[in-house]
Amino acid sequence: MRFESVEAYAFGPFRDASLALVPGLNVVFGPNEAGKSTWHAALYAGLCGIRRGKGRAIRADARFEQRHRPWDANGAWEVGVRLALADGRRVALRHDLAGGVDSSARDAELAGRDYSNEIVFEGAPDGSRWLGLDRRSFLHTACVRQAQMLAVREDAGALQGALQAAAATAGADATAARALATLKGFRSEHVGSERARTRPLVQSRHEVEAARGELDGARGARDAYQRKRAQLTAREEMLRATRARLLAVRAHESGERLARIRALSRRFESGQPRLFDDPELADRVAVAVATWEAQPMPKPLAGEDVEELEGRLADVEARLDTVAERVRGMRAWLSGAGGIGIVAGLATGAGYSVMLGWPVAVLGLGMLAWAFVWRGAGRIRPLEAGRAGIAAELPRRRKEEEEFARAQRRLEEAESVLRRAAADAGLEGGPPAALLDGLYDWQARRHRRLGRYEEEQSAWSELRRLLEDRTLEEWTAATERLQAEAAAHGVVSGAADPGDTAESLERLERRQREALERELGALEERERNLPDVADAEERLAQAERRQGEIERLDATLATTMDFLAAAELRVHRDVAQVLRETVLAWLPGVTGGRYVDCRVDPASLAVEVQGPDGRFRSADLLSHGTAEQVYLLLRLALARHLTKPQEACPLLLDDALSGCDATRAVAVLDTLLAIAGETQVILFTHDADVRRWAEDHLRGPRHRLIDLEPPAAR
Amino acid sequence: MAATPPATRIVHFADLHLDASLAWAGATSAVARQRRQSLRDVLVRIAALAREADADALFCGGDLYEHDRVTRDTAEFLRATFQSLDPLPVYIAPGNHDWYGPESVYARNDWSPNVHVFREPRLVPVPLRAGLTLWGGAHLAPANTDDFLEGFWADGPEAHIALFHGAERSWFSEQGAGKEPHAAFNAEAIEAAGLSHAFLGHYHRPRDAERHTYPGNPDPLAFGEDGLRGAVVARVAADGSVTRERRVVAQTDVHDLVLDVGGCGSSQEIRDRLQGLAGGRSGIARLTVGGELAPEVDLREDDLRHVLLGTFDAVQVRLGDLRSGYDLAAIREEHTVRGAFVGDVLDSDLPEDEQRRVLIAGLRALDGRDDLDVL
Repeated sequence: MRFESVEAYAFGPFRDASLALVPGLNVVFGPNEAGKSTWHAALYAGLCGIRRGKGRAIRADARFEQRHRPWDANGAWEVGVRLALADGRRVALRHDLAGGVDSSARDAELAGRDYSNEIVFEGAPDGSRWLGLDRRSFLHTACVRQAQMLAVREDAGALQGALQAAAATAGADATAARALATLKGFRSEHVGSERARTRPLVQSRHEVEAARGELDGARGARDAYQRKRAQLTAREEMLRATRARLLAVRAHESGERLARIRALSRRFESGQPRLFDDPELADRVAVAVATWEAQPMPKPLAGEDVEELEGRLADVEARLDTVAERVRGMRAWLSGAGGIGIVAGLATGAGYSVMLGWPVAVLGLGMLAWAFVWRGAGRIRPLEAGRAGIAAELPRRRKEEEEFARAQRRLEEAESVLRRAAADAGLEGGPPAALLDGLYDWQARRHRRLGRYEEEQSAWSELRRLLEDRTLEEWTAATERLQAEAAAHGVVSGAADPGDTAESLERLERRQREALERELGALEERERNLPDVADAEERLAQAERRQGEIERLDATLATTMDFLAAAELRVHRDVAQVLRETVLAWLPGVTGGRYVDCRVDPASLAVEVQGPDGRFRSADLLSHGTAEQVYLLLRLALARHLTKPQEACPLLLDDALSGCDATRAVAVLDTLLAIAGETQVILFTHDADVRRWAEDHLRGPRHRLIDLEPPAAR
Repeated sequence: MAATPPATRIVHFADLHLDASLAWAGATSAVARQRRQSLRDVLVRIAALAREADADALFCGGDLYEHDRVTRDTAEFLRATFQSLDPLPVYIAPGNHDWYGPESVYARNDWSPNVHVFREPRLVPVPLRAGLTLWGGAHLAPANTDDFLEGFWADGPEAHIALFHGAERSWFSEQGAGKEPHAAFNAEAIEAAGLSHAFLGHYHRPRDAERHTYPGNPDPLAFGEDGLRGAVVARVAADGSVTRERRVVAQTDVHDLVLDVGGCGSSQEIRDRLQGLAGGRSGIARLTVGGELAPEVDLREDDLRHVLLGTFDAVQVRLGDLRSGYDLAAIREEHTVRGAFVGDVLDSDLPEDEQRRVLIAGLRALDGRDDLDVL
């Protein structure tokens, strides 16, 4: 491909301006403000157009528009180029940069042919597509700016970086290595390795594990709860069984009670038992009987009675009185005689003779003493003994008689009582013994009657107790209810275990119920605190989704890096070969034979050239001029490599040599002239030395010096 | 001539799935709890419908709740809700998710007298009214329940209807993945069993067949549900014939949104388009992203989700026909690493989605971009 001309219909300051170009080296000279950069931009825009709608570099497009869109052309912004393609077609490209709808790529010789569809890229025709490039890669491949040349000189790594970028994206963007580093860094930050605990991948796995653990825990807790619930259900069943047994016993007991109530009720159909009894009479009879029984039968008294004893006592006393009278007379006599004797004695003794007196006195004394001692015992004593005996017998006898008389009276009184009681008891008269027997019999009959009454009374009390203030009908209904309830609980009538008692079963039921209630309470508390399974499932789903996203990202990034690394390796290998071949073809010529060989590392695209001493040196370390020459050769090589085989990519250099001294500039110009033998080169410059070089070196129709009119001339 | 007895009015529903997990909706825990509350509100609406319709009975065809997840609170809610209908009879035929067992809510709840839970793994009769008998059965386990109609014959001169949870075989293929044919039966077996009609549960897709009715899940349980789901107000005539009217009782709005990112030059444009798409809606949304994604747009799933969560309670994002905006055919022609990379990836046997993600990630990296988490 080569440019034949560029037409600025309305572009920057130009209106319907045109610049014709030749196939070889075009040196476009103009002073500052002559429009060199505008023509350079017009060439680029005339070939590539600008993106429409979507796409990258919005800011760059905006800047481009800001710099080159006319502000006084009624909105028009149009540019075009006339191209000669390798296939022989000549195409007039025209870009309506303002609206984009009027762009075209018409055959310059064949009317009606429009090739726009062949080259549409990002919404607008892009002539660089015929080169196998696009408007971005063309910019970075075919357009060489001053800054790039400066960079090659000033930065040892710039050449290699530029080559890598060109190999990666035709120089448009990052290098493959940087892209891989970006991917790696992104993966490290947003995914992380298996060992990076704080990175998303491991964290997401931990989150999934934690969420799964939570879910397992929730399900486990629920299962445990269900198992416990099942246990309590079994316990409830046991409680129900106990209650059924209790119901059976109660129904049975109620049935028996009802039967007893019925029996007793029949017994007391006429009402409460009554006792016809005279307790007072019974008491009287009892007293009479007891009195009579307690009353001893007086024994008849033997011997003399009191009267007889008193008569005999009186007789004895009379006789005793008689004897006593006699004794007393004797004793009086003795006493008198004795006294006299004593006095006589004493007197005799005192007066007459003691000898005589004394015996008399003693005799008298003796007589006196005798009078005192002598009691006529021989006659009195028997009488007195008799009298004493009678006197002693008499009170005893009197007492006995009195007692007998009292006993007799008591007996009589007892009989009287007995008779009255017997009469009250309805007995006819008779001897006391008969009455007593009659009363005994009366008492026995009463005792039996009382016994029967007590039995009745006991049964009556039992009935009252059994009824408990309820009626027979009520008990019947209650029993039927109990039996129905028992039947409802599956209790077969009469199935009560003989060993069961309501009391023991009630205790058992209470014990079971209380234990069950306690455990149910605990279970309900447990149930209230059960983890929410659905909640845990949702948390796990979220964690798994997050993990899935990260793992997917990891897989995507890993795959991307694999593909990118493989592509980089393969392309670098190809590029290395192309670079070497191209540089070798030109290097000796443009360096005056100083450098005859070169080699390129396919891994890094590092370029080394072989100097006069036969040693290879890194191209980055060559002199500035040589480095710039090598750079231009490499750009040429890359342009060739990146361009379709049958096409040649023109090179556009915008003031690329402005920083070179005269010597280096000439070396570069020589190189460009050599390159322009095969590829169109368009060099914009304001350097008069370059213009002079062009005047001296550009000969024939293939190369041309173009002088732009100064601003004042336009 | 004897007067024709009035039709029996029945409100029938099934597959409410109280306490179900909302993992499918991508909901957070708080939102999921809120949605589970909404499921309860649906039952309240069904109860209100039964009252408004002056129904003679409320039928539940199973899967009222999820046994493995049901809470005590839900059990009490059910008890109270059905009690509030007393004396309106409520007949429940437990399904495979709310199977009847000694530890089930059905066994443990102290139901009001108007609630009748079928407890046998076979159809047992309950007189609905003179001349109309309801036959109901229950699942006693989460699986392996036999065909309720196998060997069954509803004998007697009166009309017979049935209520159970089962999978009608001919409709099974329409249910989508994840559905198991529990208690599977053939539609023709209904008539053969002497039943005029079967009120069913299990299939979430609604169906009003001649002799059976699937009401469908009354509140959404998944994205992409179609058909008029909800409660069915049925009138059963004396001869057993049934007329039906469907009522929507859902509390949750589920939306399937489709976002075409084509023509959007920035993520902001996509956000604006998405907000326009979501405007005026609420509930739960599934977003399907499709169209040609411009190369420069940094589109991330979290960003889309974030936008939608400003409107919806829960959001799920999935990819539709999303295409890369790169001119891959042109790029692969380049003699560059980029061209080789694109060619290699396009020629690979990677799945389409993965291929697209790899291409975009690689091209973005080669563009010097760091927005590499590709949707």
